[in-house]
Amino acid sequence: MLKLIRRAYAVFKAYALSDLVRSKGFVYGLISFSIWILLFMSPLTLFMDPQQSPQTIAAYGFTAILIFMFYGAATWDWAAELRWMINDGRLEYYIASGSGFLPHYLGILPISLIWVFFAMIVNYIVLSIIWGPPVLAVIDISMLIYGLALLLVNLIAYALILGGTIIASGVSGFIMEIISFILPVATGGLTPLSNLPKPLQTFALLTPFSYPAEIIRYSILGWFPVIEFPQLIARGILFAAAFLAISLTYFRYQIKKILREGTRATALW
Amino acid sequence: MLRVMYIDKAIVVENIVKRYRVKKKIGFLRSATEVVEALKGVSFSVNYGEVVGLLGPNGAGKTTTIKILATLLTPDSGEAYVAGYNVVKEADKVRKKIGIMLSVEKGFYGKLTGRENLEYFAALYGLDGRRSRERIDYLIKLLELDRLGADYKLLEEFSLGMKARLSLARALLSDAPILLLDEPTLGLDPPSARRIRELVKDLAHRDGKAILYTTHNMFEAELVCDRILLINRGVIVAKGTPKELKQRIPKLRIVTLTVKGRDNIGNVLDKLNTKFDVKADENGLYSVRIHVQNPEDIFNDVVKRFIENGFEIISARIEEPTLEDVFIYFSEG
Amino acid sequence: MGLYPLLKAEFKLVYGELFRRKSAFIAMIIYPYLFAGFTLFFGYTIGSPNLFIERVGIDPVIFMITASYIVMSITAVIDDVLWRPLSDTYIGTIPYILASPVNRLKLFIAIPIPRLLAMVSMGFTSITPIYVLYYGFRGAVTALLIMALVALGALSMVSIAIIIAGLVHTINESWRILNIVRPLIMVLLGAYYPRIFMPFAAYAISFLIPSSHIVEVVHRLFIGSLDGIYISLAIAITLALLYMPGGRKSLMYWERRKVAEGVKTY
Repeated sequence: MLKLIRRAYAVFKAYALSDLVRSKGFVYGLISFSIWILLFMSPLTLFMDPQQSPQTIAAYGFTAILIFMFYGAATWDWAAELRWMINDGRLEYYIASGSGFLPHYLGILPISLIWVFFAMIVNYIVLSIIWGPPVLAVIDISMLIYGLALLLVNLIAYALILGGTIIASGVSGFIMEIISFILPVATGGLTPLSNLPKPLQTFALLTPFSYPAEIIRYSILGWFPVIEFPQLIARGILFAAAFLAISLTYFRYQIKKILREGTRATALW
Repeated sequence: MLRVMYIDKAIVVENIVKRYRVKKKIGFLRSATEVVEALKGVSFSVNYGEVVGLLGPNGAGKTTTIKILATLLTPDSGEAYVAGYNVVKEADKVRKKIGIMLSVEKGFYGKLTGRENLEYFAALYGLDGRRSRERIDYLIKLLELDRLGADYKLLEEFSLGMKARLSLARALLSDAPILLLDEPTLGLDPPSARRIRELVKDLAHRDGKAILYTTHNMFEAELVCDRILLINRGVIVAKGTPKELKQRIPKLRIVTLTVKGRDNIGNVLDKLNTKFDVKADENGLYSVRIHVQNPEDIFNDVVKRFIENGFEIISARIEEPTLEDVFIYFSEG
Repeated sequence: MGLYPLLKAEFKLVYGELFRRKSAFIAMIIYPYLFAGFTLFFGYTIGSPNLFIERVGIDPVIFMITASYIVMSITAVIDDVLWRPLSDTYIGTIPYILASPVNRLKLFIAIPIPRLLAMVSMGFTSITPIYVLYYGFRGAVTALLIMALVALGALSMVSIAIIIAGLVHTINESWRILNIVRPLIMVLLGAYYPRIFMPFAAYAISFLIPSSHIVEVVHRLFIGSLDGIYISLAIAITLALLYMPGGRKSLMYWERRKVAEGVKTY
């Protein structure tokens, strides 16, 4: 256990120094992010009813972007990490060290969360400029914690599946970008399920992603989910557990495959 | 006026100095600027029809020199002329007179074939359609790239040897009179390296091109270069032909003979007025090593004496100091 | 050295890479729908299309698919010009380009043309089906007109993109600056959010961007107002031509700085 913590800490320190402390990219990235929010959010004001409270819209936007950021982290920080390791020539050393991937991911997880935290501060500021300060109130702290934990588990599982596929078959950056756009929309991550057409609602409820999203939206915005809470919680746990189990098995299979056949060294872009 | 003076020479470098300013972090927020002198007043020339080697260890200043001559780096002081044109003030004219070969691993578009890459660069070098096609066909044949599939294989499928050949083909696209080749055989397998070396010699001796060839491989420099410039820490420490350089170092040569005969070897060697050592094996073979400044003076005499004393000469050779010995002598002496 | 051989070379380079990288090709077709769909999805969720039509005067589906197409075509030019020095540095071709006698301005003018042509042609797969669905045959004719305008708008961005490239690439880690410049230009184009709704400062900056005038012409065509479209076209072309000398100076500045610090040859 101590070894695991030490290894994870070493990874965290390395990434924190290179990506957060020594990299100007952190600040530039936040500025770029704020402009992208402006680009996507400003046209939405053209759809709004002047009677609608802009701050409620801002709150919805804030929550949607928060979930979108988590999906982005899962795609580009966690799933793509293996591709970055291959491109940098680090993967072989990693496998040969025998330390496994768990300490590595435990180490980079806090880096992603730190980035999301700062990005959400920027998000709050930009939305306040466009619509006014988002009306955010934590209605149910335990549900919020549960929702975030469930979201994290689902996204880790998604990252393992996408990451395993990337290293085995060389999924391109364009495909990953499309997936990262469509997935949160199609699985009810960004919009309350109650606002989706029925067929899409049904589809979303068959995926693990909709459950934590509904819980988070309820606990921050007070919007009630489409199914009863006990069902929501129970199905959320079952889906997440199954998803994680499948993803771990799949990931292990892909690692064994690359040890047998070698990695596909195609560029991401 | 200066152009008239240098027009006969392909490359003239006069007292080039180049300093790099490197930022060093000395605390969390503080940094200091360190000045690294990459070239400290380098002067040399290259004639048409010769291969001049710029030989030195990593960080000696070889690549910095090539970059200045290729108009990819401006010197801090001094002058350099290529085909009579100043590399700073007349860079555009210089670019029409040079072909360059830099890093072999990079420098091409991965999703294009070898031929398509050459076509692209031919357009950049101003070759028109027909001339470009003819020239590319010729170069692909010359460098045996057709046999290796350059016409249909994408660059990302090329081996290092193929990339090296393609890189040389690019350097030759515009048939420039002056070639600047920076470690052209680095990382190549022996057959590919040999092919490149042979081509380089032909280009100079047969086609009259002036070639500046950088390498840190002493063996290769001796094979390829007509003249060698030894550079270390930004300074040319010695220049001359390989033979001239070896003769300048006070290291004794060794005449090594393996002979077979009777026990009277002492009769032969006692009369020698020089240092020697002898080893005998159980088969009656003697290995004789004679240390001498000028082996040519005594070699025939020694061989004659052994024969006169009834010995059979199994093998004889003269061990010269290597360029490595030369380099170590000049850089550490 | 003429522009034609450079254009030929760039066409071979870009199309060689584009058609051999199928995912990039598929992405080109999908992206307009993706971005439009994303915005429409949220717009319909939080508001109403009727309110959009009241404010803007155009059906939101037509508006968003056109906006996506415009932005993608114009950013194809910007991206090619802005990112090419970086990708050439990364691949290792930059020393060979700088050490060649090629006319830098002509090269940078030639660089975006192939991809621009491909992107504008994507109008047949993006805006044309939607326009035909809404307006029938008239829609197809409108689509061709919009494609021509977008081509003009994209071309008008070449000179300003060259100026930005020359200045930005003298800075270390210039790609970080480009990641700010790119979305900023996309906002200021006024494709997704019309210029007339922007605050004055943003409007003033947007005015200096040649293709923002073309975007306004497209919007006016849709609402049936032809007032001032020729003036807008003239402003776009004039700005593009006015920026050209600056583009040349900017490239020379970039090359001087690059050569002074030394071009990486790996």
